[in-house]
Amino acid sequence: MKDKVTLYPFSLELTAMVRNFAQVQDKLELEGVATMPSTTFLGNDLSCLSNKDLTGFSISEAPNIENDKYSGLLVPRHLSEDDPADCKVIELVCQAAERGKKILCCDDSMDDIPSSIRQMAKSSRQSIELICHDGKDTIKPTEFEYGQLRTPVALVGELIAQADSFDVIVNLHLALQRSGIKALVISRQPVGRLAGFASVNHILKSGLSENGKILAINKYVQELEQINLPDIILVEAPDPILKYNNIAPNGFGIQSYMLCQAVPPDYILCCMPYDMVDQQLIGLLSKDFSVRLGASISAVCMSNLIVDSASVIQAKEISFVRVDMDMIRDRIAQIGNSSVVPIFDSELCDGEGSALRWLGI
Amino acid sequence: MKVSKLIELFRTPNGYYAFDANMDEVVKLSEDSYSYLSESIDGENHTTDEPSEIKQLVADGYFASQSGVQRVKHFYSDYIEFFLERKLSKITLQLTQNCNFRCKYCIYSEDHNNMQRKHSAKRMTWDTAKKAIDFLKLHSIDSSYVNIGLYGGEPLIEFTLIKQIVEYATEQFMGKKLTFNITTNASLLTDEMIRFFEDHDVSLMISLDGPESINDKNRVFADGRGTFADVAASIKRVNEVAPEYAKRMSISMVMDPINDFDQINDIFSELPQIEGDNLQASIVDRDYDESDNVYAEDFTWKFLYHKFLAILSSYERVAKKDVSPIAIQSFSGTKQKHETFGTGAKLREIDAPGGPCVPGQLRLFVNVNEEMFPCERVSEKSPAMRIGLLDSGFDVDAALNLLNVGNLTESACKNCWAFRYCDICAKRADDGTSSLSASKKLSFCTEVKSSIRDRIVTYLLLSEIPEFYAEQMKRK
Repeated sequence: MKDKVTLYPFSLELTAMVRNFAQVQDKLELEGVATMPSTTFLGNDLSCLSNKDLTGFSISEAPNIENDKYSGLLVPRHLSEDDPADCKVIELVCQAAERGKKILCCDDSMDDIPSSIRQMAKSSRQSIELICHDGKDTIKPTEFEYGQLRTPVALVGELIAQADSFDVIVNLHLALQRSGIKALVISRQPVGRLAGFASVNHILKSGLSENGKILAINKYVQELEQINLPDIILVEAPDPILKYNNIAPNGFGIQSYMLCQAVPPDYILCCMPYDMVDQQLIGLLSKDFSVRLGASISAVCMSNLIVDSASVIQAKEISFVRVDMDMIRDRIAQIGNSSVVPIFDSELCDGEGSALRWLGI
Repeated sequence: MKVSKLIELFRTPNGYYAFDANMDEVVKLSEDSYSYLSESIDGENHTTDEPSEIKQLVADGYFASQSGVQRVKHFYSDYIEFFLERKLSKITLQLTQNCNFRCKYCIYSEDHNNMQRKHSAKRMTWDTAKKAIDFLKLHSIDSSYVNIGLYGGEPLIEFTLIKQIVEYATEQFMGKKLTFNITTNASLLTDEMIRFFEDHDVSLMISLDGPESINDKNRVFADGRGTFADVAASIKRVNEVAPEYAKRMSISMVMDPINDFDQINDIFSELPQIEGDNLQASIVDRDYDESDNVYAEDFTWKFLYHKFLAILSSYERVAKKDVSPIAIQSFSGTKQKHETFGTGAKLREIDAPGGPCVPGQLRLFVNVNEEMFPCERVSEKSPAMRIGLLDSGFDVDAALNLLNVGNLTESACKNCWAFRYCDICAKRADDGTSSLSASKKLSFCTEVKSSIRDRIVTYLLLSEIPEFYAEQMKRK
């Protein structure tokens, strides 16, 4: 029998995971989804937060742990002990654990789990399960030897953060599964572990040198390849894949560059904001990626984002507004046929066929 | 040679340049090319053959005979509903229309500025404030941070309401970055208020126009007494009660250019608690006034001289202490703008002049009557400026009209070299009626072009320093 849980706190990156929760894993049953108090539209479908297709789950505020009907909690991401809002979540998790509720906490590594939850987990093993890198393969830089991967690698990268790469990863993983293709998925979302996705976050966050991290990721993925014997390796880029501009450098794409040195891609799927999907730009980016990252753009996901350029100038950071999926689909219908690479939306709604064709499948 | 009006020529002691707005680039020219282009722009007969440099630049796409813009339309026109529904980042609340000051240049003055509302006893109710916060919450799904501005009149008159707002909003926006700021004359500031603002990280901006002799010419109480002594005492008190918080306090200084610039700067010796880094200086806003600013010579040339010193100071050629903090701040703003200048953002077939923000998205202003405006600076009396009501929401057509203020003067804008860097927004086309005025908007063109020219000249000066003045400017 599956354990029933409420996912808390929800974040937009998890939309596809929530929608397809029953398909991506078989251990848990999602009872509900709760958001931080600042979220609006309580009672409406979660999709209104990302302006995407319905998820079948409505928005609710923090779970009421006094309620006996409520079963367990799934914490899908890292909780920061420095963030007052996250601290409230940590407090609630501890209270729920004290009441014997089932708790699953997803994070990158044991060290990242908030200390109070970690301590409770030690004392009440039955009710708290920590889902993170187990630390068994301790990183020893001297043992690394760079090796070639034999499996084709497809990188899913975003031009700007939150341009739906995790949604695409989840939807592609399911489409590949339905086509009988075994994928090794490496994602940056801690909750991905529930679906069997691997992660290299613990290496990226380690104290190794840049060189050491690249070698460690390469070694780690080689081992995963050997154990899993996948048909394809699907990797989510850890950060936006290139600099946006001088005002908002967007992390300069450093971690993605390192990942591509460790796990050289054969295909790149680029998640682009709606207003940036332009054939000329795709061509220019493709040339740049083929030199810098090792492969040109094989496909584009048109995300339902429009960059707020005034905010870029004023706040010196990239932010965006989310438009309707209808607008995305109309645009794809208009330009899709004449595009040099396949273009689809994050829900792969125009059919799995075209979404997989770029992989030669 | 026929060239469009999208080219503006510049001459410095060291070189000749053309700014090509179509290409968004400053091109260095020979003297012959400069003269030839100058004749072309003026429509004169050429006295020489077309220089080969010009031929090459034309072949490379520069100096087009027509504007690259075919149609004036703001890029966000088709998405404005999404911005207004999902991406509000700031709301400014008019807590009261009352003020204990009667500043002579005040835009709400009873004596002039007839296009604006007047001081009154109207105040915002808690219901309205709560409704406005809920409105912000409902319309900021895509904003990772939001700001609430506490504005008046004099907002400290409504301190009880301020406390309610801060406490309610903090609860509502848990999980989202929330900041507050208050703009006040500080005369009513108490220790309790200072501590509350410090505890809730409310950014404090105090208005003060200079030393007593300058400040008290314009900034007076309703009974005509000068306000400097009270405000200065409050500033000192903030430093005593909350010294760490005081470091983040800023001063808004409205400069009346009829005064001597040096005299304005005496504030820094008269009130050493004021630091240049936290100063926001501006010139008296007379957009809605019947009169214009009068510039004293002792303001203009001394300000220019100090701006020059500020440039030298940025190269450590002059000690910072010998330069007006106002000029340093002004130069620092210019320098920041260089980051966005000449980045090669060519004009597009469908484009819009710089200037308007998405009305309401960036700094929505809500007054005591629950009416919504693009910001606190526009006239609350102008029907054209009203973009909705808290209860019924945004009037998208009204906001769209303000966003596309460029359409009013499409032909002039399409053929203007200042297209990309223009900062005329709908406020400057507001004549108090329900529609925007093209002639009023065009009346600001000379001033705006002059300011953009200044910006490009500074850009050229800074670009020339390494080439022509390296010896003089190099750190010894």
